[in-house]
Amino acid sequence: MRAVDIFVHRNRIGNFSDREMSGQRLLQHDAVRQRIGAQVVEPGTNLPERRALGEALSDDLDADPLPGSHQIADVGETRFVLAHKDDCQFGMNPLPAQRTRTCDEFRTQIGGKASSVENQGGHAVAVSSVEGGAPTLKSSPVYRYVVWLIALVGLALAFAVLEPFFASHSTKTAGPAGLTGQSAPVFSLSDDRGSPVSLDRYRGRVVVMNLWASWCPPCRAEMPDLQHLANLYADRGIAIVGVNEGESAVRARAFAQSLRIRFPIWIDGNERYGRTYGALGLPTTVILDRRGTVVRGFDGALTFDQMRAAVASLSTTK
Amino acid sequence: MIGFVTAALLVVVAVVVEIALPGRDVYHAGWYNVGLIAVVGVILVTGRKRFRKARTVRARLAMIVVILGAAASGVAGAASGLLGADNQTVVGAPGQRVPIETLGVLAFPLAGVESSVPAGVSLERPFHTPMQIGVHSLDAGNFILNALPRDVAYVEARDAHGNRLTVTQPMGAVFLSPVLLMQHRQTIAGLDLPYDSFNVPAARRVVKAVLFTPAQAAMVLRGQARFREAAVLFAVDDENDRLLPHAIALSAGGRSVFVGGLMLRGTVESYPAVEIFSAPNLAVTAIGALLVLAGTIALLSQLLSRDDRPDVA
Repeated sequence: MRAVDIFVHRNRIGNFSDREMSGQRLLQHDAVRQRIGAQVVEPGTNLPERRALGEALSDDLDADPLPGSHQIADVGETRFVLAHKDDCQFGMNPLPAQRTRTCDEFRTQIGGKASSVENQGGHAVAVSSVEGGAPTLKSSPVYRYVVWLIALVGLALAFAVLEPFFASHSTKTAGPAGLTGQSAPVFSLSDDRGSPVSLDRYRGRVVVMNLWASWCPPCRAEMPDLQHLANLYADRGIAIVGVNEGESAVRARAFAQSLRIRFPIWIDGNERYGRTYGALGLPTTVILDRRGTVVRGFDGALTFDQMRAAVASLSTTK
Repeated sequence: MIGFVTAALLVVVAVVVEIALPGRDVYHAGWYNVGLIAVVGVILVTGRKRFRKARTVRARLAMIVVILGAAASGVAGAASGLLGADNQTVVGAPGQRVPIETLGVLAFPLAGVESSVPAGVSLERPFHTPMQIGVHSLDAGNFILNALPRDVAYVEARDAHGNRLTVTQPMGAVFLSPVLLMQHRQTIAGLDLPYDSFNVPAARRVVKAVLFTPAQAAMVLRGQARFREAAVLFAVDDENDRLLPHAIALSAGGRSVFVGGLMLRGTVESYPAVEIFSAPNLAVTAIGALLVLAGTIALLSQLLSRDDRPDVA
């Protein structure tokens, strides 16, 4: 590709050069060129006219995004616009110090790369013929993507850094409802007669686990209702388990017999269920679904109606 | 150029130190973080000037990389210092799940005398697999967690017939737990000792338990050479907090003592607490450090080779 380097040295249209330098936009249209030729090249153009020209030119630039037919190259400290031979363009020198250089200085600076440096209406224009021209970062087609990529990486890093300080990961409620939605912990315990028991045996059934102790008056009050519930739902896939917290099997069994409790009584001597369920007191009742997932947790004694309501929907779910 | 690169490396080093040596109060000091941000600001300003003067695309790319890396590291460090929570130590009971704001849930295991499974606190976070917290630092994004072994007491209470009784801790981290976390301190005979208390509701007793290390037990019980093991001093009150007569006894080496109508046994165990330090995001800091290093190497290689030729032949 045969390209033409055109450097426009302007010392009187600072508005344009600033804009062009910051936005890296290039002037392309003949109409713009004509306006520049007609007005800017006049050394005596006054400030209001230059401002008006600047506004008109800005409009053109805004409507005309950078086309892909030209490239920018740096030679020494001079920036060139490389364009097709027949596509005459104007470019900016970004360095203020060079705005005042003469044609000879340009010729010296760019050496053999410029075939000619012309004085056009008080503006130095360096013209050279080169083959192609190495693309710079800004002129590369991937430049825009690189900029976007850097911006996205920056945003991602900022998100990674700041998000944890504002996000809350600890929305779990305290107490026995805190494990809702999680698998119930399974511990190997013994029942009140010393036989090993485990929740694993109850998979496929809804389990109502009631944590209790013999010294706890509300537990005593609640026990008959639990037995009533066990009787009522025995054939509907619901199992009631009473887990004694921290007492010996003798005390637990004596207590259960005194109340004619027939559902299984487990002995949790080390109070493991009480701790893992976050029991705030006794009694505590936790309901597990057929897969062993905690679905409800209650702190304190329940009435029989509350018990029924808690298991009603689960008893019909297969 | 040297100053620009040095400032970027300084930022990276300052932030990496926060991860390598976590928990220093200075990381949360205002002047430290303002200084960090100021250095990043200087890098951005000087980098902009250098960028304009750079003659090659390679040099400009390298500068962008250095600036981006330093900014990432600096922001990570300052965010941790200014927005991160103060250092804290979480003492959890076995089986307890402690939610930590902006971090997740610390699950304290059932362990020690109750289980053969080694004690290891795990961190549970949404969309992450649970992580075990060890003695060595564990980075959890914007936090560094350390397991800190500390002494706790496992207690058993029985009645005169040997029947086990429920132990509760109305004032403790967990209501139902036979493990005393010993978070309070008391001076006895010039010794600063940890203590805790528990209730035995079935016997209507309130028990205070003071923990002695073997050396402390030997010092207090002069002449009783057999006390060369950790001990728990029990003081039994009634339900109205009145000390019962002859209701103070020492349970050493896990042996039971009968006091205040109760058979009490205390076993001293080691159980982990968790130290939590806020720290710069490890991934962001690592990426920032790598970017700064890569950009620095590219810039230095250009300087050394004096490759300042322009991109146009």
